[in-house]
Amino acid sequence: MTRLIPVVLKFWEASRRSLAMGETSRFLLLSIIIGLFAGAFIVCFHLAIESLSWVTIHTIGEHHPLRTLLSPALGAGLATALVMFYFRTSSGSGVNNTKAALYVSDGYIPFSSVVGRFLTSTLSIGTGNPLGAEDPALQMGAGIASYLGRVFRLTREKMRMIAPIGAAAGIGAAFNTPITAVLFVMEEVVAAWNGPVMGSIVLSAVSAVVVSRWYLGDESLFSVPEFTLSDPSELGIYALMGVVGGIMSAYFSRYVLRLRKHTGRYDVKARALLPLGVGLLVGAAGIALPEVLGTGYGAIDGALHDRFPWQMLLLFGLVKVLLVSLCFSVRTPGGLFAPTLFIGAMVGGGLGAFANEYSPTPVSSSSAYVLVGMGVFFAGLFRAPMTSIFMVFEVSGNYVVILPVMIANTLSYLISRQIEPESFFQEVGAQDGLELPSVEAQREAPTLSVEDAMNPSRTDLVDQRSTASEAIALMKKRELRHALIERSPGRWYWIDRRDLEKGMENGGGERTVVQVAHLHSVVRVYPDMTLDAAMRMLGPYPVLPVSSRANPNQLRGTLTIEDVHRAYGIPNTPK
Amino acid sequence: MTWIVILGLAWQVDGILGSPMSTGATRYFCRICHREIPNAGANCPYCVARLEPRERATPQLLFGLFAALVLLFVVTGFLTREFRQERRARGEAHYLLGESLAAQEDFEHAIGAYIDARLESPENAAYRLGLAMALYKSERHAEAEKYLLELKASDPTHSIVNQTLARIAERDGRWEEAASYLRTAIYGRWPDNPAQYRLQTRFELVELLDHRGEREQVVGELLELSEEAPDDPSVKRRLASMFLQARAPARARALFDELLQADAEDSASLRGRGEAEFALGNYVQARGTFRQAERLLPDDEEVRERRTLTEAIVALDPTVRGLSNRARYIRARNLAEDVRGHVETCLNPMGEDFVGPLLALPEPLAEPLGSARELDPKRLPRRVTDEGIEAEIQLAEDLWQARGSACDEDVEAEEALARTMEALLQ
Repeated sequence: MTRLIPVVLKFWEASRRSLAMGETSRFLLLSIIIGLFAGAFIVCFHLAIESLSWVTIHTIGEHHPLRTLLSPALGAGLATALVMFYFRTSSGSGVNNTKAALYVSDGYIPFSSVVGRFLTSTLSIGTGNPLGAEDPALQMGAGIASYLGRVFRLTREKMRMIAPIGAAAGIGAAFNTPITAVLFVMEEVVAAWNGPVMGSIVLSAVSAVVVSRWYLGDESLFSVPEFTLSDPSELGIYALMGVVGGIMSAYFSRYVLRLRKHTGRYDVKARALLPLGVGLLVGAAGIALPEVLGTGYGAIDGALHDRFPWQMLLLFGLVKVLLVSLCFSVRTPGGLFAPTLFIGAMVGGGLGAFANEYSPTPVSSSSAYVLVGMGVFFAGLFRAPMTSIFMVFEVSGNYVVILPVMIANTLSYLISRQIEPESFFQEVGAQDGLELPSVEAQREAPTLSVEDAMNPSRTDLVDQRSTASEAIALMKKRELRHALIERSPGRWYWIDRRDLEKGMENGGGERTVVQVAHLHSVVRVYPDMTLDAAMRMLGPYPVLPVSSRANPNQLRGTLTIEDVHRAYGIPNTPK
Repeated sequence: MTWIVILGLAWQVDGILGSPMSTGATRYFCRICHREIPNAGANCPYCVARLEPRERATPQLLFGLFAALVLLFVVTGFLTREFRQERRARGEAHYLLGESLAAQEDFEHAIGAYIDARLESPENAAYRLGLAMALYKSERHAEAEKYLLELKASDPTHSIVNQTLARIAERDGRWEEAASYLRTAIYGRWPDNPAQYRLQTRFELVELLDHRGEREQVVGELLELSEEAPDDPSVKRRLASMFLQARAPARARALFDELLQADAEDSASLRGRGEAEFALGNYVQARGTFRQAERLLPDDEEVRERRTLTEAIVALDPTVRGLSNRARYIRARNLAEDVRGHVETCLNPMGEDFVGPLLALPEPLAEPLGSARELDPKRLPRRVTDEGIEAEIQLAEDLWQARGSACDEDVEAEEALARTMEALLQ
């Protein structure tokens, strides 16, 4: 029996190790846990906002004008006071705070910011301020993830990536849109499509949405009536919508940022009182146009069902632009996702209803335009075209409009960029004292490849049949310390000149290079590889063969560190 | 042995979760290892683990996390349940408000209440239906149609939805669609009293088809209706009227006969039967029926006019039973004279005698008109034969049939004359 025990223990140890999770697996499991926590938390957030709105702006029966007038002001005032005096870490844009965690603070987001966001955003949105819950949800998710990461004492490298994972969970649960959440975080926060990170982000978003749907149901955000696209010529109207959306979003961005910068210079007292004043304005507007209060999803639903004529739709859009600009610039807590959907839906719907009335050619019902319009303003303002396309699809569950959405959103994105090159989030961050990298610039920065740096003239190549002395002479002439030798098609080695010289000293001058020098094996690179990846391979190898993917035995050129320096514009030190 | 099993299991779990065991636990297990397993030595993994720095989460932490998650889920579940209950209650309150406003025909405010109800409970079909009906009644058809189509998508056989969609489609001139919706409504699901609603909807479909001139379909639907219709005089009367409208007077007459058997003094049925007989060309019967109807409805102008017309027709008809040969001959000659007068009016609308030669008249008209002109209404043969009567009738018929070459289409003869001639020619 006792002789068996060591055997059994060894067997158990082996099976334990085979079942043990690696670091990556544990991180993925943590991503799911983050999603579960964030999902449940965001559900509570949603319930809090709705419940507060029931006693402020969505009472049953007759609406009291005084209550409508004062609720947004009191909510915004109280929320701002909390942010300024108790929850300072919950100020600013949720997206920027998440990016700051990623690029600046090694994934650290204080948990007090989660509590602060919850309270302040509930107060401001639940009382009718025309802002969205998605940006606060994003930061809450990131904050929860950061907290859990600290609890689990993740490595620094993993901690840096934890905030975007939580952010995806937050957005996914808030919007009930897992794909949008993943795309937005990848497009706007991380700006990278590497596998392990994406896997974690997907898992956290999916688990958060599962939790959210478990509690709140799985209906899409809007119920869209059935429609079909009438005529291909309508695509021209959608293109026009994209142009209008792009121009509107660009100027909205410009003027909101200017106004925000201006109000940022006021003293503390003024900054504390401004949201109160703007809240009164919101309340006054809400008495006449209750549709502009809060997130406005009810009004979007109405627009989808042809409730409003085109004049009213455009009026809603314009009033909302004004109110949102004011609220955002005075830093009333809340996000811009829901307002951009509202503005785009109303302006798009207004254009569509107008076209319905006056167009000589048949056009679809205005529901189609409301739906397409939703993503247009979002794409232009946030510069996340792929996110905006999938977002429309996910919030409506309708795939018919995918082509017009792609056209309109892409146009809006391109035009907005042309008019206002600076990214909205980057500018907001700069105003808040954060110099964050521009994700858009990162995305569009040109990437150098091996083909840009390689030497196609084969001057680093020495014939294997040449003698050592000939090889040395050639290498000296070309000022090479290392050279490449092709033993047979596709088999390359690098040689050191010093080996040849030593061999010559020993009387091997007339022997071939292969006989004298030590042949070092080498890896190959390809022209399409990024220079960054190839550079890592240059560490152990002074020269690399560049071969063709179509014919791996064919040598296209050679690559050395000097070639890389030249491509990057770094002057080479003389040899 | 037990400890070995426990140790083994603990070690397996520890491995799966990546060594969450605390230092204390590891130390404890190491002691157990040495105590229970002789010569464990370096083979005891816990002893080895004691020497490694702890990097991973403790069991207490994992337990705490799990507990926090469960607590959060429980709290969220509780809050969500309360929220849903409150939401349902709010939705119901909005809905009831909407219903009361709709009952008072304040549809604008009712729509607002229904919208609020629907926002609270988007899945509730009753709220959506209330909203759709309020929109329909306030003439906001495009909007109503959207909600109705959503309802139809979730419940295709909902009869009220289909019926309302049919009415909207009919107003928009989408007849085929309207008919399709009505048919679905007829065979669909009604909330209460399905037989009555089915009947009403069938009538609606018949009216729609009649409006479109789909006579055969109308008759088909009416036949189905008559099989399904309850034994209700008002329904039968309506059916019979619709048969008449659909130019199926025989069926109409049968229904009116049934009604009159039950109540001989039913003035509406009498009138209807009179019309049916009239449509069938049975003017003598029609005259009798209209006389009876006029007795019951002395102030009814329409009945009087019909009675007068049928009497005029019967008075013109030489084939009526019970007349002597002479009377028949006189009628036939008068008939021919009346037809000639109509043709002459066509030839010379100003009323003066046509002075052109007979040869200028179209061929079909020349001979009968010539013969008719030679007739002297005051001169009657001494002996009237059947052949003579037939000849007069034939002359009238020939002249009537040839009148088209003289009379334009829009020139109509007196109704009594026209009907008499049509009856003779049948």
